Amino acid sequence: MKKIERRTFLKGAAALSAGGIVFQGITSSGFSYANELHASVSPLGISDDLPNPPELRSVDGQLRAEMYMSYNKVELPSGTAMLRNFNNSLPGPTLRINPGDTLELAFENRMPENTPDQPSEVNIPNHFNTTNMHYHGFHVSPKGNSDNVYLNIEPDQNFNYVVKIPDDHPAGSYWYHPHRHGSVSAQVASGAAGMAVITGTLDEVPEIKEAVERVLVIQAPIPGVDGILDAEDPIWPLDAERDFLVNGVYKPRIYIREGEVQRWRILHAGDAQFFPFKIDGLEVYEIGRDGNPLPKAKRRDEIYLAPGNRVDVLVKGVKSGAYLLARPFFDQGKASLPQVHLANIFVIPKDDARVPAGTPFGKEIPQGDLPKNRILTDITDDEITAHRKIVLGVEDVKGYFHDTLFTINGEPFDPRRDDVVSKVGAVEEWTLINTTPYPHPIHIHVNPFQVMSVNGVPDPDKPWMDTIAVPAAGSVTFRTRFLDFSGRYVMHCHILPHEDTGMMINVNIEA
Amino acid sequence: MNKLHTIYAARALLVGGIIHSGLAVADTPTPSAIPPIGSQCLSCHGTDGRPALADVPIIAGQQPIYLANALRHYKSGQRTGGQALVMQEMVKDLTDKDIEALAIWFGEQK
Repeated sequence: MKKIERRTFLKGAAALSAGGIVFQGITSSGFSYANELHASVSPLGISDDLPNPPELRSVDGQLRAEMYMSYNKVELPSGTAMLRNFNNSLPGPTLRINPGDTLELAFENRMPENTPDQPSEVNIPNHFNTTNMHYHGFHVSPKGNSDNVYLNIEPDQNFNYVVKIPDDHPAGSYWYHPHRHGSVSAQVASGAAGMAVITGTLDEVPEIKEAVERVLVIQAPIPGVDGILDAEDPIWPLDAERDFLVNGVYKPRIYIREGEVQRWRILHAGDAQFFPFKIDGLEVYEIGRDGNPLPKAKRRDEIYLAPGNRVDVLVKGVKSGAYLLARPFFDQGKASLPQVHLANIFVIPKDDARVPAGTPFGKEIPQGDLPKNRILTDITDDEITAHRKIVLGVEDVKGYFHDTLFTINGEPFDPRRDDVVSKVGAVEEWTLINTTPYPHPIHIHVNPFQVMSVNGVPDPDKPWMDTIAVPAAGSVTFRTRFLDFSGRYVMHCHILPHEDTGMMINVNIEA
Repeated sequence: MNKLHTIYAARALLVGGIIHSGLAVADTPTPSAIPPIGSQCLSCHGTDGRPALADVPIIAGQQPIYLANALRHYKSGQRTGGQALVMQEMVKDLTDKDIEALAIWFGEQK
C-alpha cells in the first residue's frame, strides 16, 4: 500500500490525534487544508492481516484535502502495471465524513495530455486522460462544484469541489470515482476509486460500535496491458481476464477471532463483472445496502453485488479454521464467468497474542430495529405523482465502437437532451425494462430509490439502493423521491463500458 | 386396369417420385431464413430458438398458433407484468403479417 503524498505547503501544522495525524495549513496554491490522516493498517494489528486503505477524516466539520489523479505503477499478480489512480493509491484513500460536514477537495489532474486524434462522437470512448469526480450515493447537490459529473477536467487543470453533506444524511458506505463520459470505464477499470464513509446513527448501535471495522474495496484491473490503458478493447469483453483485488491486494489474508463479530464495509468498484459471493462456514448479517441501513440485521448465505453496489455486513467467526471468500461460477446474462477466489479468511483463537490488548472485540448481532432515516421512509401508493417506463436496449450501428450503441428509451446518451424532467418534491415510480440478454446495473445520482419488484415479483424487503441490476430480459420497478436538490444529473448503466457507449440519460429536477 | 386407373397409378408413381426426391433433398436441408423483423428475437431466444438465458422460454418447434397468439397477447397487453413487459416492447411494432411469419418460422425450427 502506498503512502499518500502530501504536496509542499508553505505553512501548516500537524498534530497527533487518536490513531491519526491532524493536518491543517495552506498549500503553495493557497488551498487551506484540514483533515486527519490515518495510515493503512490492519484493524487487528496483525502484520499479514489485510490493512484498511489509508483514510482521510474530517476535522471540526470539514474534510479539506488535496486529491489528484495520476499514472501509478502497481504490482499486479500478472506483473507490473501502469494504472490511473487517486493519490497514487490503489484504492484511493477512504474519506470519512459526518452528516452536516463539508467535503472540500482540491482536485488536480496530473495525467499527461491525451493522445491526438481522439474520437469526437460522444458515445465512443475517448480522452482517457480527461476526468472529474463523482460522489456515488451521496444525497447532495448535483450543481456547480458539488456532485457535478458534466465537468471535463483536462490534464494539468485543477478544480475545487465543495460538497455539503445534509445534517440528516443516512449513515453508511458510499464511494467516489471519476465520471467523465467517454473515459469513465478506462479510469475505473484502472482502479480510480475509493470508499467514502458517512458516519451516523447506525454506527452508534452498541453491537456495531463495539466491532472492529474493515473497509474492503473490490477492484478488477485488466492484466497484461502494455503501458497505460489507452484503448477500450481490453476491457470491452465481459469475460475479459481480470485480477480481482481487495484493497489492492491479491488473495489477501483476513483474520477474525473466534466468536468475534466484525463490521465489513464492502464496495464493488469494478467496472463490468458482477460479484456474487459467499463465505461458507461464517455467519454473515447484512445491515446496510448502498449506504442505506436495513430495518434489521438480516442473515445472508450469499451477497449479490453488481458494479457500484456496497454492502455493510457483520461477519461472525464461529469456529477456528480457514475459510474462503469466493465468487461461485455464474452466468452474467449470456456470459459464463469463472469462479474467483477473492480472499482467505482465518478464524484465530479469541486470545491470539498477535492482537494488541485493548483492540475492540464485537460479540453480538443487533436484534432490534436499526435506526430509521427521514429520506428512507417507505414510499406509499398515495405519494406517487408520476409513473415512467425506461427501456434499456442495444443496437448494431456502423461506425461506433465495435458497431455497438447502448440506448435508453431508444436513444444513446446526448448531453444536450433532458430525458426526464421533474420537480423537487415529486415522487415517481419507474419501471426499467431490459430488452438485452445481459443484466444492467442501473445507477441514479443524488436520490436513493426503493425497490418494489424484480421481474414483476414484489420484493418484501423493499430495499433502498442507488444501483440495481435489471435482469437480462427482465424488469425492475422502483420508487424515488426527488428531495432537497434541484439540478441536472444522470442515470446510467454501471457496467461502465456500456455507459461510455451510450447507456445514460439526463434527469433534470426543477426547483 | 382401365384408363382412369392407369392415370391414378401414374399420378401415384409421380407423387412417389416427388416424395422420394423430397427425402433425398432432406439429407442436405436448406433452412429457411428468419424473417428480417425476427433478428431482434435471436439475442435472447437464440439463433435456433434455443436460448442461452435460463429464464427465457424455448420456442423452437413450438406450435405456430400458440406462438402467434402469445405475440398478439403481448401486443394487446393481455399478457403483462414482469418479463412480459420485455416482450411488449419487442412486439409493439410487429404487424399481424410479421407475427404470422415469425410464428411459422420458429415453429419450423426443430
